[in-house]
Amino acid sequence: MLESSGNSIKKDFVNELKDYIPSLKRNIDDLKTNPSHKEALRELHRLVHTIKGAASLVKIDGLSSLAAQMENVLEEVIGNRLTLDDDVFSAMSCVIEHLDACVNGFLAEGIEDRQAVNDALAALERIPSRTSSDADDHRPVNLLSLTESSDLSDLGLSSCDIVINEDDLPTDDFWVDEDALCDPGIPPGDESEDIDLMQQELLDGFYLEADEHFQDLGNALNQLEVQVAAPTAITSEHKELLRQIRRSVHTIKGAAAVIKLEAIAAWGHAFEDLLDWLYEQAGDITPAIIQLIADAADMLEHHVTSPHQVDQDKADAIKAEFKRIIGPGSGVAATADSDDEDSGYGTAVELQIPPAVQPDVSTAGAAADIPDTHQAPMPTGRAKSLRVDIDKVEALVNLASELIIALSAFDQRMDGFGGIIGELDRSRLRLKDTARDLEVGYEVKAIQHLGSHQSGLQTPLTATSDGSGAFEDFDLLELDRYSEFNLIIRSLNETAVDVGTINTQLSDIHSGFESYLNRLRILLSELQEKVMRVRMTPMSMITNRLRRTVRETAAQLGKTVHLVVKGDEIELDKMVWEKLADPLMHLLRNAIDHGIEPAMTRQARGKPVEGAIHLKAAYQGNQVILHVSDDGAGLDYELIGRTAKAAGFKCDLDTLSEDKLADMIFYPGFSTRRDISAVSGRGIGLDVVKENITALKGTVNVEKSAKEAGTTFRIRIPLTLAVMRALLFTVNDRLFAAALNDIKEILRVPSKALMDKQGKAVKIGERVLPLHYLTDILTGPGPTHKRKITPMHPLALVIDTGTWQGAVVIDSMFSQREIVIKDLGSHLHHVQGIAGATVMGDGKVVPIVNFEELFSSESAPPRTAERVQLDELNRPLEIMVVDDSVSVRTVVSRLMQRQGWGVQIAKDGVEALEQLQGYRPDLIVLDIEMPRMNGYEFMSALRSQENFKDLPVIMLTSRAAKKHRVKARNLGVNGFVVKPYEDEEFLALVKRLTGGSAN
Amino acid sequence: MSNQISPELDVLIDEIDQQIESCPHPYGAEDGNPLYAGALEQAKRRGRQYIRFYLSGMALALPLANALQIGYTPDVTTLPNLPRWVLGVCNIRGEIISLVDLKYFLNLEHRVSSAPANLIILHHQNITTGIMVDKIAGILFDDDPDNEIQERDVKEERLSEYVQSVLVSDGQIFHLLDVKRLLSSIQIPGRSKTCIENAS
Repeated sequence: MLESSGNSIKKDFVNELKDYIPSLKRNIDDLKTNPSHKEALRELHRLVHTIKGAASLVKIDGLSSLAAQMENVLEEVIGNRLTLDDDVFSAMSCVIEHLDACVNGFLAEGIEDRQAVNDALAALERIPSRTSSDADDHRPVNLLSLTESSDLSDLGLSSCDIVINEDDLPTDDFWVDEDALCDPGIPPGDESEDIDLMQQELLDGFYLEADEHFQDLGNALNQLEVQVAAPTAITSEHKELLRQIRRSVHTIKGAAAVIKLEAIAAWGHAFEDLLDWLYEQAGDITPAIIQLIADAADMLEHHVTSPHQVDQDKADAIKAEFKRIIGPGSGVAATADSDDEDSGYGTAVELQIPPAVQPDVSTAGAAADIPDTHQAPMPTGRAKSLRVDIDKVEALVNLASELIIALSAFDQRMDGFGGIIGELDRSRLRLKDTARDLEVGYEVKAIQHLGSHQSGLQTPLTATSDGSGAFEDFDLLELDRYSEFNLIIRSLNETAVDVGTINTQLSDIHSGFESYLNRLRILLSELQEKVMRVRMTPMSMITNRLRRTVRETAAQLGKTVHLVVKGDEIELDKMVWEKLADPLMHLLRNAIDHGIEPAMTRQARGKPVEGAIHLKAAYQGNQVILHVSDDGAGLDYELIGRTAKAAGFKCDLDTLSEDKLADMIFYPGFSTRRDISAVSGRGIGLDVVKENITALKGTVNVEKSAKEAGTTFRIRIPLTLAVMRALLFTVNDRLFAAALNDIKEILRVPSKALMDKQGKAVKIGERVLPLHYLTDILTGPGPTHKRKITPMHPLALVIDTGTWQGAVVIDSMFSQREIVIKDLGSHLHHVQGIAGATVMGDGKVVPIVNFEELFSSESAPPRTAERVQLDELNRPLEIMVVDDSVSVRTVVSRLMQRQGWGVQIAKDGVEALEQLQGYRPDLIVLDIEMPRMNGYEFMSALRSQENFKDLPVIMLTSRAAKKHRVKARNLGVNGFVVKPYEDEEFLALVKRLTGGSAN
Repeated sequence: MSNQISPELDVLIDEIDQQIESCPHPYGAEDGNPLYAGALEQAKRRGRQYIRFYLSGMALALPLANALQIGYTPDVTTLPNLPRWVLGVCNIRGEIISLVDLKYFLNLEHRVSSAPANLIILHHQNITTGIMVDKIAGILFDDDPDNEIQERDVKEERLSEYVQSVLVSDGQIFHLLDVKRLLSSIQIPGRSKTCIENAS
């Protein structure tokens, strides 16, 4: 199986090679006509290099060495060490010819045509100008590789395991792993003709893979940057980092070569030369070199991300810089070194490269002086992973959220169930009492009665069954005699006991359910957390991009700035990082452009010439806090003030605090820059930053900024966007939710803490905070509106959202729980002051309050008296229905609810009076006959209370007699409706009595 | 016995097949097939269905295709900082949907006796919202030759913006609501903008 999969890959490769040959020929022809045709030469080199790399990968060693040799020749030509003369051309043509022959031979027979390879190599060897000018020891290498290529395959292959980062495998098993790891897109043995599709899959895989490697590369580079602040000798630590970088570059290069992204492969190759040289030969390392590595890495990333926009001049400049650093002497050797890895003729490596390199090219343990490079643990989370479509994860998250809602519905039903069991228990007790009363009160009497009369119902059972008075000799005290009545009492007692047993069993079941439910709840929250975590990725995902931004912007502006990142491991939803990347990049660019001063100024101010920008991430509660701080000039408050004035802000700028001025920079179109540069100054910026962050339910503000001491921005992002811990509270008997995170304190405000007459400010501890009454702000006065009085000690939440502090008065607290955040639907995208809504278990929608937005200066104009009045008019009616019949209650409430009115129900007069303690309806619908307290009794009790004297009451009854009506009227009933009634008439009456204030 | 039956059955099936083949195809694919064209026309006409409803005593209709659901007034949760004609939001099968009081929006009379009792959930493109109506009267098909869509001659000026034409059915007139226009004009503008804009 191994063999066959290997062969099929080889076949693919040879097919690929066949496609190359015409291009090779064409380029050679081009060169023949115009030897200075640089493009053709470069193209030729690239093709040959690709063939070399691919051939070594698929273990066709002969071809790979042939290509390597040809590549050497071409490099010599490029390096102007060899001139293109007829000899060279004929040698190359010979190589191509033999390549052709070799290809055909392989396809026909499935084996390499070694003779063809040998001939071609010999042709290359024979190039006369080359033998004279190039005196290095390539030839023995070739010969070796030629003669021993079949034996050297394991060495050759060991270069591959660098590519796939999987080295501790026995080489025999190699194919399996390479298939699995290197080329996930090609199933072994798949001879699919649909190359385009396959190529696309390969590309997708490559980009994903490259992304990870760029991250690793960036991390290592950053560490190196931190360690090398000044020219210094290379330590083993540096080498380790260099090795990491090199590994990433090599892997990217290898992967690119396999899927024919020649430009990337070529660049990676050049880049590797530098890294190899640094690793093996360089004695010192300087910040300049690090910078060059960084540039090269950026260039590599450019090649990968936007291959069509690669700045070739810049690339050439970097390449030239490579050459300059490596030095002309070592250039060839370095090139050869890295070539060896690709080409796979490993003996050559052993022959010519210092021992230190061995770990990279062979698995032999010969290099004990350097820690086994391949054994270094890979960054976590890489080894065992699965790529899953984000939509699928999204669906899972949604399902988990829905489950939580469903569970809370279940919870509520369970509460109802528990209530009913309690009710059952009370009924059982009543039954028991009744039975006992009967037993005690009547049974004894009956028995006495029986003694004297012995007749009627109480015919003794014993007598009837026996047919005679067999026990008449016994006195009553000597023998109990039972009548049917006795037996009924007994069975009643037994039933009471049975009901008790059932009740106990039900209670058991209930508590069993409860515990299952608890377990379910725990599991569910765990599930939810885990599902959420699936989408979490560490910040390192974007830090690389950020570093590049800093480097590029600094270079553009001619400043030297380094970015220090702390908290790379902090995790957030992948989508959130993606969306945060832009705002962060913006802040960084701003920091470099506006914050960090030019070198001269910095020197004059006694700061290090190199500016520093710190990006710090940390968890805080269920939020992630990001700090972006620079050590630059700080905000120029004066300039901000002037700009604001010029822009037409009407606020009194002179009295504005620095905090308020700092907030101004987040307004759209605000820019203090007079000149527009590519980097900033267009005035679109911080407002977009703010908007993006607000969209993530986060906040951004200037935490501190001091003149010449730099600026610190603080960004707060909730850990998850789907669920949050919230406090549920009521205002005007309506439920609202607020993020628990924003609530710093919950307290009753003592009247002495109120600062002014209107109670618009409150002193809490040492701070004076604005005090808002939510009843005034959150719309729709509820049923309690009429009796609303400011309580003596209002209940207040102290809010600190990071950018807004204040206290808000609420009516009461409801509960604290985890809520699922939903948006307000496709119509109301955004409602000022409302962050979203959640759905309770019973289907009720509860708005989530965003205090900052609700009270921020931008908020909607304050409610006018007119508006309050309108709302009052528009307010739905509240009706209380008092009736002992369930069906009447249901029918009437349905009718009322259909009008959009609120309905409160009571079973009898007592219950109604109890409810009226804390509630005032607009109208009461009252039945006459009810247990405990009937309608008439209720009416007299109601009207005796001062505040209910004028509350309209409609009596709804089936008693149509005049007597009943008169009695009702005398008691102060406003309307009398006889069942059955007409809906419309009834409603009209209700509306008339409530003064038509309903909508 | 089965041996006797099977040939007969085969013959029978063949006969049926032949009959079927000789019949015109009910949805014949041939272009010139008059039967097919007729069916298509009919399907097309039948596709135009409307919901009839009443609002402040006015008969209105809207295309059934724009209605996702009809029902009774749900529990409404009011929200602050919204135009008066947005009643709030409600939960329709787990989804949060806003409710619009069309009477306020269209400035229709608010007669006490006609508190809206029914809900129609409208959908067009990406917007879904519920409108409150007084009463849903039924479905109107326009495949009936007695019904014709007439060109607009709308007396109700205040509705002219949202009513393009009227439907006449059994002498009754229904104002056809332009759902697309309605939904695009009930859009709530984004968050209120800046100090600068306010100042200017």
